[in-house]
Amino acid sequence: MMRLVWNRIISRKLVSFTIILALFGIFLLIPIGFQNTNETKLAVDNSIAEQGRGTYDILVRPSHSRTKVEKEVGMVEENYIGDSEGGISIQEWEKIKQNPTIEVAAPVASIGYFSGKKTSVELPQLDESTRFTWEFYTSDGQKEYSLSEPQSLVYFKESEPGNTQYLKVLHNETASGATLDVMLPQTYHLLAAIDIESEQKLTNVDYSELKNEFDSFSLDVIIKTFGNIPIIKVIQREDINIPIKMKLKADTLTLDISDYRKKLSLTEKDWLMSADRNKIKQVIGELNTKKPASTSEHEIDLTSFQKPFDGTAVKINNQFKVDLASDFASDRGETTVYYTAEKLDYNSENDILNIKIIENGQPPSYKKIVKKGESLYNGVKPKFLIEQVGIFSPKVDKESKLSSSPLGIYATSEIKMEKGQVLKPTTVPGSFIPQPAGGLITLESAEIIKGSKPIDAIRVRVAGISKYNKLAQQKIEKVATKLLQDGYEVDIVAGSSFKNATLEVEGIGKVIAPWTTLGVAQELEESWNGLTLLTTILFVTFVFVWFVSRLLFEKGTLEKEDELLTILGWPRKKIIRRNYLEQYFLLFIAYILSILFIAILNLEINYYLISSCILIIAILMINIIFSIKRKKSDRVIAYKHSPSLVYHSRIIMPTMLILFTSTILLVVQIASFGNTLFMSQQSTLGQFTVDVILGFQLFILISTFILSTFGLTECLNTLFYARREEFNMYHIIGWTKKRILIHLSKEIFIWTSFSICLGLITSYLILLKMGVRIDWIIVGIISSASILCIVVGFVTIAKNLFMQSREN
Amino acid sequence: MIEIRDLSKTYNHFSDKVKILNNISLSIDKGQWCTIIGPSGTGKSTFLNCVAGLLQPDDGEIIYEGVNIYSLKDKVKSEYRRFNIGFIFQDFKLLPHYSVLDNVALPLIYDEPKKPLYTKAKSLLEMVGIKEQIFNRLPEALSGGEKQRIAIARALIANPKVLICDEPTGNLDINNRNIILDLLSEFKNSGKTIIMVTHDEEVANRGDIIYKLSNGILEERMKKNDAFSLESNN
Repeated sequence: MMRLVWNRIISRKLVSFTIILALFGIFLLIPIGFQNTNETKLAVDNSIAEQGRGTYDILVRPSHSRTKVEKEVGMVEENYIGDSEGGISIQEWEKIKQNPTIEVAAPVASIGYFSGKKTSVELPQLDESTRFTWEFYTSDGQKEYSLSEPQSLVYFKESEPGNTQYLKVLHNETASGATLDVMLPQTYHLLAAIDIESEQKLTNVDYSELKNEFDSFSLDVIIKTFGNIPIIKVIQREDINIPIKMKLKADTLTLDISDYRKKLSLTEKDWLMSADRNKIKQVIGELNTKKPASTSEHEIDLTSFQKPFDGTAVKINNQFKVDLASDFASDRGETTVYYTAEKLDYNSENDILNIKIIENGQPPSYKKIVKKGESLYNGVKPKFLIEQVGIFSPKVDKESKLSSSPLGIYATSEIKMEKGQVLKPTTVPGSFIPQPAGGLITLESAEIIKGSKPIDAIRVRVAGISKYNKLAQQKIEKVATKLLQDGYEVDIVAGSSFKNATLEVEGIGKVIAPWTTLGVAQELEESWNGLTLLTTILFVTFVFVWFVSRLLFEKGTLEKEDELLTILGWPRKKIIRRNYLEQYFLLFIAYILSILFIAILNLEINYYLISSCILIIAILMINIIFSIKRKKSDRVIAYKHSPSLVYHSRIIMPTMLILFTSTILLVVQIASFGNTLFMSQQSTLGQFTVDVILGFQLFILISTFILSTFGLTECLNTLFYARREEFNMYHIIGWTKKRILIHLSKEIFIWTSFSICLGLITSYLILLKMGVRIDWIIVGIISSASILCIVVGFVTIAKNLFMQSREN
Repeated sequence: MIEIRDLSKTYNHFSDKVKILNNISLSIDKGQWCTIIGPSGTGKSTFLNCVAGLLQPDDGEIIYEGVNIYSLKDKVKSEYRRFNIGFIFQDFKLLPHYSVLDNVALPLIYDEPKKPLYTKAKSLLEMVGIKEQIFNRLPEALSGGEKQRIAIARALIANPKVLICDEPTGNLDINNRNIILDLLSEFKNSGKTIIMVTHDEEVANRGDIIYKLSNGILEERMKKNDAFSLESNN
């Protein structure tokens, strides 16, 4: 009997080889798959445990403060706390802070866009009388915007130290006889409020200068001028400079000062600027038309000298270079005027966020802004004054981290044009680039400006967590649930990280901005672990179906031989044993090969155990399937429709089952893999996780594809083999090759398309239930259907041509 | 009608080469029943396959109505078989999943409209003595004689000029054998050319001319009754 069995295996070399190879694959792939599943799960868990925790765990905001764009794209722009309207009081924050499970609760409030004191730029006193014309510009990195109207000053060479002779039209300023001072334009910067202690715990940044005392001289002046009004201490951010340039034109004029003294009705001893303002204006008008003897133009970059709330006064020397000024003027007249802005209105369209100009200007404003406060020049007593008392230097180090809890007010990441040109926030409140806080004040000061509920967000760090593991997640969830019950908008932010967003900015073009995902780690862990589990289950199911199917059609092909052996007088038990034996042979050859391979690869004992378990299950399946007695059909009348399908159903049905399972497996794997991959790409932590386990997922995907191809090829081979006489007959009766192929293809198309369609519908429903994005479902469906159709089509055509060539 | 010129065919048998057909030349007239006789394994079926255009000979030509069929392209050669040759086999070669009627109509199923084709198939089945009750049955449920009559009906569906019969009565009892041979005689009388191979002397004697194939060489052999009449005349 052994010889008979062996001879059959040898006589069907190709079929036997394919089966052994597929079984070998199963004996090897399933243990590797199981092992990798565990390792992958561990890799994901570990990377998230190590990297998933940022500086804080929970973001608490007033209820309904989630923006439209946040809901739509699941991300927030940098410095997203700016332009918020508050909603949490200091008392509420203190209550949250008292919770013993909370280690840090750091509040933040955006106040508005404020301007610091203006400082002066001293013009050079040249050897010749000079007409200076200047204009200040700012830039967003791409375009330049004028910050002021062109102004002019005419300097007379007859000046003496301490008595500089010049003429200039004054705008809300005073004139000095010592220097040729012109005032820098007003620039506006985001002011935010923090709690010094908790913010320091959260960021490790020193904010203690906010406790500095006022300069006594300034304080005296303020009290004398404004009485006992609140003075708000501001610390300015040290590492932010304001992009400001001065375009200066110097025209050398031939002037006689006496002529102008006459025109201004001044005596020889009088200072020119002491003249009547209207007369000065008139004379300046005349001087501005005077033809220069020579002209020089200079573009002077003042950026490095200008800080948000305390610019540095500078002096332009005779070579038109910038030096620090020793004698200068400063002006706080406009510091009481500030702006608040609404959040940017993003419109999401095809994964691009559109931003429209709200108000055209220099530069244009992309937000609705509201002017608040009054200029001191208007003579109204202000409600408060701001005074810069120190600096702070946040260490924003996002590059080295996979996760980053967005602190909401400190980010200075590069925002770039598509071609790489770097953009910067402009110095007006309506910039589309969210400004980081240029200055900080205390929460108590915030109450003065913003009212009783100034806090926009509280960043909470949960106590007793060292790693972001399951236990930590549970702790965080518990605190988050409590805060949610208290009526706040709550986000678990562990694993939040950076992700580029494409913005279409009106007047600018396409811009790439680093946005931040909120709380992705847990979701990431669940989705990857879910995918790995699903992949493993589907793969094992597919292997099981494939094995059962191939046993079923093997049984079908053996039926004729079984009948013959029965006629020859073999008892049924012996026939069944003969059939078992062949399968055992194939199974054991594959098993031994896989064990050898496992040994060569020096894999763990688990691999041997899993392989052996598969062997036992496979033996059981062989015994069960081959011992089931098939009822012989006693049908006499032919089927009217698709008779060949019904007749060969014993072979076609298992093939359909394999095709159906392959379709589900491929669609679900491709779609959910793509979906998880896409979701993971939303964050740097996700990208890291992808890098860790991408290999395994691809391995499973490729294995599935190979096994599907093997399974289908084997089924189709068997089908062709069983019908070889039929094809020969078609050839004899004069059907052309093309006709035979079409006839066969039509038939194969019916059952393959039915199986594939059924598989596609089933997988569609599974994926919908899993919440996979529809575009990924479509990708999965199209790619899987294409792959399977190509395999079926290729095998059909190749096999058909092969058989016909043999007939010829 | 069919002229076979210098037909040779060699098979590889392990390391040996066996010349199964050796320079066979033969001419078969229209309406002639030509029988090839010989023991099993002498190359009778190979000879038939070569004549039918199914097996490319190593040498020689098969001229059918003036055209060498092996000079034709595959597609034309298939058409030649479909419309000019009807095949009858010892094992009937009926497709088990198709009904009796479908089996008969099969050769022209893509060439002719279904209704007239099936009418023609039915009349052919009736002509060979198959009752209408079994038209829709599966071949497996029929007797050997019935199966061969169905195979004959299938061979006639395209109204071929030539019938090639490979041991058509090999699997039949005497009664059925005679029925089939009578049918073939009728076709011969209606002008069809029959080329039949058999190892049965009695069956061979129904032909107009008998050739014996032995060691790759074809020799014309006298029919038994002709030999008998020759002896009586002497």
